[in-house]
This record gives sequence, structure tokens and C-alpha cells, in this order.
Amino acid sequence: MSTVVARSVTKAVVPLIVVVALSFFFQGHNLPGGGFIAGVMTAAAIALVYIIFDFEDFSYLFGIENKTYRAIREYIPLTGAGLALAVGSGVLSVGLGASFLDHSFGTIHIPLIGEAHWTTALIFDLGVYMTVTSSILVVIEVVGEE
Amino acid sequence: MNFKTCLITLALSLYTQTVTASSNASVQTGSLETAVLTAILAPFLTSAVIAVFYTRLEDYSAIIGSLSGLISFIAAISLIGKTGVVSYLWIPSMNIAAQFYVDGLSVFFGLLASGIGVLVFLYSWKYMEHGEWKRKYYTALTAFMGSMIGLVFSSNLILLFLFWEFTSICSFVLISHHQRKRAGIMASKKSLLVTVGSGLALLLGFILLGSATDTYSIVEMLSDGQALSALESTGLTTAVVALIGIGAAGKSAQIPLHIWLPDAMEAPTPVSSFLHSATMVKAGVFLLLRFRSILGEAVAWNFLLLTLGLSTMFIAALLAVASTELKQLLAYSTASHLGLIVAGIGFPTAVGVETSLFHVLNHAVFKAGLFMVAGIVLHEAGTQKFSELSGLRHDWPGLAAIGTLLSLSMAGIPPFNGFYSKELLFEAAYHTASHTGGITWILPAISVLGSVFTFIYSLKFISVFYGRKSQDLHDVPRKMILSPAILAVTTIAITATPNQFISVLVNPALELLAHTSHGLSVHMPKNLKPAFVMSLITIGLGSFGIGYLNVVERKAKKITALTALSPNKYYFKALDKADELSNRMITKVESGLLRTYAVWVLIISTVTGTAGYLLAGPLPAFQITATLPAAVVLAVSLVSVSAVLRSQSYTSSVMILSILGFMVSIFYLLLDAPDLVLTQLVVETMSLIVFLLVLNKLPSFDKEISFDRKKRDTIISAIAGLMVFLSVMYSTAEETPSKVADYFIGHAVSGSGGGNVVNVILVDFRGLDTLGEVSVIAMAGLAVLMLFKMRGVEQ
Repeated sequence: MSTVVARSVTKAVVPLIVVVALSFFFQGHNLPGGGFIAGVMTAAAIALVYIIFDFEDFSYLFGIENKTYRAIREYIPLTGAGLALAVGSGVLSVGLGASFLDHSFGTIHIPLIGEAHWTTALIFDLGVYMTVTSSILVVIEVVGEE
Repeated sequence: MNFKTCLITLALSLYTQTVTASSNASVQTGSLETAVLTAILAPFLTSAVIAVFYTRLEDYSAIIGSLSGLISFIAAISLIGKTGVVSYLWIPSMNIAAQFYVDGLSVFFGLLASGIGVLVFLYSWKYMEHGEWKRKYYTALTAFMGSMIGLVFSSNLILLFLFWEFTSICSFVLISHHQRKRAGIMASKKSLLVTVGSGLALLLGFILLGSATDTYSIVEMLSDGQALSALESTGLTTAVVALIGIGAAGKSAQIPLHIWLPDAMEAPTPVSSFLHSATMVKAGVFLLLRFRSILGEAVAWNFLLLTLGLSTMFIAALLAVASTELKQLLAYSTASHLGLIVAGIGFPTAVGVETSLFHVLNHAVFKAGLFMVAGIVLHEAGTQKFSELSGLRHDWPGLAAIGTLLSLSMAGIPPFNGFYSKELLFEAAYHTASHTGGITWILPAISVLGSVFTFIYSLKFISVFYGRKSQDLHDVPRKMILSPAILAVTTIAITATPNQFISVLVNPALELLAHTSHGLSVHMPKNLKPAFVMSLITIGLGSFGIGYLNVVERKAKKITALTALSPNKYYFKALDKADELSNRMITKVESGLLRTYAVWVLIISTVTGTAGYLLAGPLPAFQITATLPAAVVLAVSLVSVSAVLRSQSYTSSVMILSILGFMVSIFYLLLDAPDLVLTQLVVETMSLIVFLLVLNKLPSFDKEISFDRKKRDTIISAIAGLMVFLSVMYSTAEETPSKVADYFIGHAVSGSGGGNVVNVILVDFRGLDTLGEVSVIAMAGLAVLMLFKMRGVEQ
């Protein structure tokens, strides 16, 4: 279903979507965005690659030679890692004497950039991001294979 | 040294250290906490150790289990004569604390559970030697001991309930020990349904009691003394008494909930001895004793417990006489004795409770021992049918002596300890009857009748040891006879010095009744008191009955075979009906078609939701105003909806539906909700992609749909839509911005440093919700994977 135009546009657009998704992820605490939105967006970008290119081409794009490669093997552990990270951030706060999923925050001075806001909620959000991205990709790949 | 020896040495040294630590701690102040925690945790930790290291420990698990019981026993001994409360925060917002209460009663039961436990593990060592699934067996048995000890020390109702249910679960696992035998599975299912079902009644009773008295702490209820009046002011007293009574009756095998106990004999004999005679079935009794000080004055209390207890005592004794196997006889006899104990708690006089407590001790000792004796017979002779056994004393004189001694105590023959507690029951019954008069004279009459049958079945039990020798048998293993021998010695000790045991164990447990009881002491009757006369009648009638044992058995069988008297038949009938009902429901609800599921979900959520709104009161006044852009967006949405209805292919309907989705996101934009816009947009995109992927797999579009189904679907979706409309109206009716919104907006920056309040709520304030949602997403991904992959496997 792919034409040259679609392929070219995809190549140009996908990195852009990923960058936007990441910026949404990082600005989430203060501006619109967050782990969930960024996660779905990233998944959408990769899904776009799936649709426009074939799985084989996709593998080639990422420098994977093995044709029988199935990304699921990577996504399922990623889902687990995401959940573990989200739970872990909560356990960490318990370990530090706060209650479960209680986050701390502050500002930090980074050279060249200046004052930056930080929060441990970002770790939790990263877990959300990973879980959402990988779960959606699992669904898309499984359904797409049919 | 190989690993096994090494591990065992390590375990032993750890245990000795804990024992010394706990006994040292007991002399220091503040030791209460250590002792209670040791008593409860030692078995649980051992259970975990056995579960993990069973392959290394093998049969030494029995020894380690026994040692953990010993630690708990020593810890409980160090608590004799002490009272106190140990409390840990758990769920403070719901009044639930991990609170333990030490007093005479809890120490009494704690000693019983751990003491019998030590002997049962020793007995299991040899008994289970050639058994299967020993890892499961020892893990569950130690976990049971821990939860039983935890149960008796619990002071919080919810904590008590948790331990209570945990004992049921351990019992379930142990009854189905022979997990490939159908009888074992049926028996464990029955016990679970009865004990957990009645446990639910108990939970309801606890919640009613807790909300009426505004506390879930038993100590607080005991100390302020207002619990009953608080309960009475709500008018729930009878309900609470009945619910707690059902819970106790289920656990303590009172009629008609006794049906699970005889079936539970499918479990290996040490389990029957431990759970189903000495400890777990006493949990109900413990509960009643505990609550007698709180609810004992209630009118329903005496009536309920006396009826329950005495009818159980009588009917179960009859069933015991009619039984054909050793363990079956002992099971019915246990139910009968529990009936005696429950009746004792129901008597308004202090003597009743004294009877119960003393009999709990006597019964635990002789019945646990008798089960062990029956187990040895079953294990060594290979049968437990009365018709196939006789004259065992020729080969096993020691076992015969132990069995006879314990049986005579069970029969209530003087001078054995069982005689004293039976005498006390008679005294309580006579006392109550002579005070109240009238119909209550039935109490002493039934007590005597029940005791006559107890006498008969006790002698029936030992008939296997006497008479003509039926078979040649090899010697009883020493390891196995040790435990019943210790229990026989204990029986002799209690018989010889009953008042010593009473003053150390029973009287402290009676403290709660201090205002009515002056401390119990028992003596051999010297003159013809009414109670002694009743004893003489019992023994006389019993001896007469024994002479005509065959006739009595036949009559008893005839009576107990009556359908009306057999709750078992009702149980199986109910089970069949439930099966039938669920089979019928499944074809209706779980048709395997997605639209059936959708219909049911929509109907149920609509009905329950509408019911909730009806209860919430009338719909608040509202007016709909819309700006021009919003009106345009809504108009486009409406157009797209009508277009979906007319569309001729899946592709076009999916596309048009996504127009609707994008309109919604524009609508959010107009309402200044950028986060929602973003979410709606990306989700809309994703669902479009997934839709397109499955599109060519869907059945053809132009399939004819019957008019009836169209009508049904239209009605259901219209009602569901109305329900969503109502939800929006109700939830936005509160004055805006609401208090919740104010709180979150006010605390977002100060509480978490984030400027985007939506995101702060997601990751910080309501982080746990998000965690749950993310888990659901992960599960959904896995479920899709499974559905697609498993389908391939099946084909």
C-alpha cells in the first residue's frame, strides 16, 4: 500500500513525531503532555513505519538482519520493565520513609541550560510511558500479523 | 558435612536461640510484644522455610514444625497470667489495626493450639513417612498453626476474620490432601463452602457490630462496656448475634452446619486430630467465649446457643453411635462435644462458661489422642471399620490401654477428667431449669440423653480392642505411639490434680466473668447432689444400652436416616440447583459473541447506575448554553452520527466515527483542556489504525439483521445514552469549581512542584490509580497476544 511519497513522508515525519513525543513526555509535569500521551504517540510513530514499510523492511531499517525477527520478544519485557519501574518508584519512596508513590521534587542548576525543575514523578511517568508504548505495539503487531 | 545436615544444624541453633531469646525476654518488662509476635510468627516463618527448602529437609520438616510449635508454646507459657495489648498501625483510615490482645482466654487457646501442634507434628513424622505431597502438607499444617494462634490473640475484628478465613483455607488444602481422590476433593469443597460461607455471615456481623459501636477493637468493646447498649440502640442486636452465631456454628460444626466435619475425615489422621478435633473447630467456641462478655446479655444469645448446642450434642451423639468407622465416630463425637461446649456458653450462669472452658481443655486432650489412636489402627491394620476389627489388645496392649483411658474420659466416667466437665454441665442445666422452670426442664433432660449416647459410643470405640483376635499385626512404631501416650499421661495428670490445671489455665480465662464467677474448682461429689444423680442415671442407662448395642445402633441408624434430619441431602440438592442455574446462565451471558457481552454490560451498568441516581434524588436544574464554535462542533458530530447509521461499509463507518472522535477533541479544545485534546487525538489515531488492521477480517457488512434485534439494540443503546447523559448532569451539578478541584489546583505546585494539574493528579496525587490503569493496559496487551496465539495452538 506504500507509494514513494508515503515512504518519503514517513521517513521525514517519524523522527519528528518521536521528538515531539519526547518533548511532551518531559514537559508533562508543567505543560500539556505526560507519559501516557507520549507513549501512545511513540507507538503511533512506530505503527506508521509498520504500515508503510513491511516488517522485513522495518527490521532492515533498524539494522536487524534476521528476517524471522519478531519485535514482540522485545516489547513484552519492555512492558514488564515499565511496570516494574512504576512500582519501583513507589517502593523507593517507601524505602526513603515516605508513603507509597509519594514523590519529591525540586530544582537543579544545569550548566548552559540554567535552572531546571526535577521530580521523582518523572521516574513513575517513564514507567507509564514504557508500558503504554510497548503494550500498544504488542497489540498492533499481533493484530497486524493476522 | 553435607548440605542437609548443615541446614538442619543451622535451623536447630536458630531455634534454640529464639527459644532462649523469647524466654529471656519474658522476664523483662515490655516482653509481651516479643512473646506474642514469637508465638504467632514462629509457625509462619517455619511454613515459609519448609515451602522453600522442603527438598533438603524432607521428613525433618516434621521435627522443625514441632519445634516451631514448641517455640510458640514456650512463648505462650511466658504469657500466663499477663494481660496487655500490642498494637501496630495498619489501615488507620478504616479503624483497622494489627492489634493483639493477651488475656487468660487467648493464652489458654494459644497454649492449646501450640501444645497439641507439637504432638501432632511428632506424630506426623512417622505417619506421613510414606505419604505423598508432604511439602504441601507440612507447609499448610505450620501455616494453620500460625493462623490459629494469630486468631486467638487478635483483638481487631478484621484481623481476626483474616486469620479465621486463613484457617479455613489451610483446612481446605489439608482435607484435599489426596488431591487425586474424588472423595477428598468433594470433602474439601464442602468444608470450604460451609466454613467460608458461614465466615461471610461472620464478616457481616463484624461489620454491623463495628459500625454500631464505632470501633473494631475487641479490647475497646470489652473495656468500655457500652458495646451492647450501643448495638441495641441500632436495633441490630439479634441480627449480629445470629450472624456471629452462624459463623461460629459453621466453624464449630453445629447442626445443621456440621455436615462438613465427617467428610473432612478424608484428610490424613494427624490433620483430623489437630484441626478437626482439637483446635480449628474450637475457633467458633473461642469466638463465642470472647463475645459472651460483650453480647452475653442479649436476649437472643442464650436462646440461640442453648438450642444450637444441645440439639447438636444430642443428634451428633446419635450419629456417632450409628457410625461404622473409627474416624467417623470420632468426627460425630467431636461435633457432639462441641455442642456441649456451645450450650455451656449459652447458659446464663457462670457455671456454664466454666463448663465450656474446662471441657475445651479435656476434649482437646482426649480427642486429639483418640484420633491418633484411630490413625494408628488405620495405618497399621489397614482398616478402620468396626465390623473388621476386634481383639487388637492382644497385639497392641499399650495402644489398647491408651485408647481405653482416653475413651473412659470421653465417656465421662468417674474419676476421669471428662466426668468433671460433664458434671458441671449437668449442674448448669439443673441450675437454669430450677431457676426458670417450665419448658427449661428440657435442658437437663437433653443433657442426660446426649450423655447416655456419648457413653455408648465411647464404649463402642474401644470395643475394637477387646473380644476375639481378628488378625495378626506387627508392633506399633514407637515414634507414632509417643504423642498419644503423652496425651494419655496429660489426661491422667488432669484427672489426678484437676484443680491445679484449672487454677493455672481455666481460671485466668474466666477473668472476663470476674463479676459472676468466683473461680472454679471441682471435687468428687460426696453426697447425692442433683448433678451427681444425673451422672448416675447416665451411667446406668448407658450400661443398659451397651448391653443391647446392636438394637441401639439399628434404632439410631433408622432415626438418622430420615431425610428431614439429613442436611447433607439439602446441601447436595442446593449444589445441583446451583450447577443447573449457572449452566443456564452461561449460555445466556457467555455466548462467545461480543455483542452479547456488550448487551449485558450495558444493561447491568445502566440498571445499577439508574438505581443509584434514583437514590441520589431528583436531577438538579440545568440549562444548556453553547458558544457558536461549540455549537458548530456539536452539529458536525450529529451529522457524522447520522452518517454512520447510513453507511454501507465498515471502512466508511470507521472513518466517519473517527470524525466524531476528532470533533470531541475540538470540543475539549474549546473548553481549554489541552491534555484531554492530546489524549483524545492520539487515542483516536491509534484506534483508527487498529480498526483498519482488522477490517478485512470482519464478516461481510451486508448481512441481514433481524428487525427484532435492531429494535432491541436501539432501545438498549438509547437507554445507555440516557444514562451517560444523566451521569454527566449529576456529576457536574455541584457548584463549580468543586472542592476537589480547588484542592488539587491549590496543592499542585506546593505539593508536587508541577504546574500541569492534570498530570500532577495522574502521577502524584492519584498515582496508585494510574498504576492500576497502566497495569490494565499491559494486561490488555498480553490478553490480545494470548487470544491470537492460543487460538493457533488450539487448532
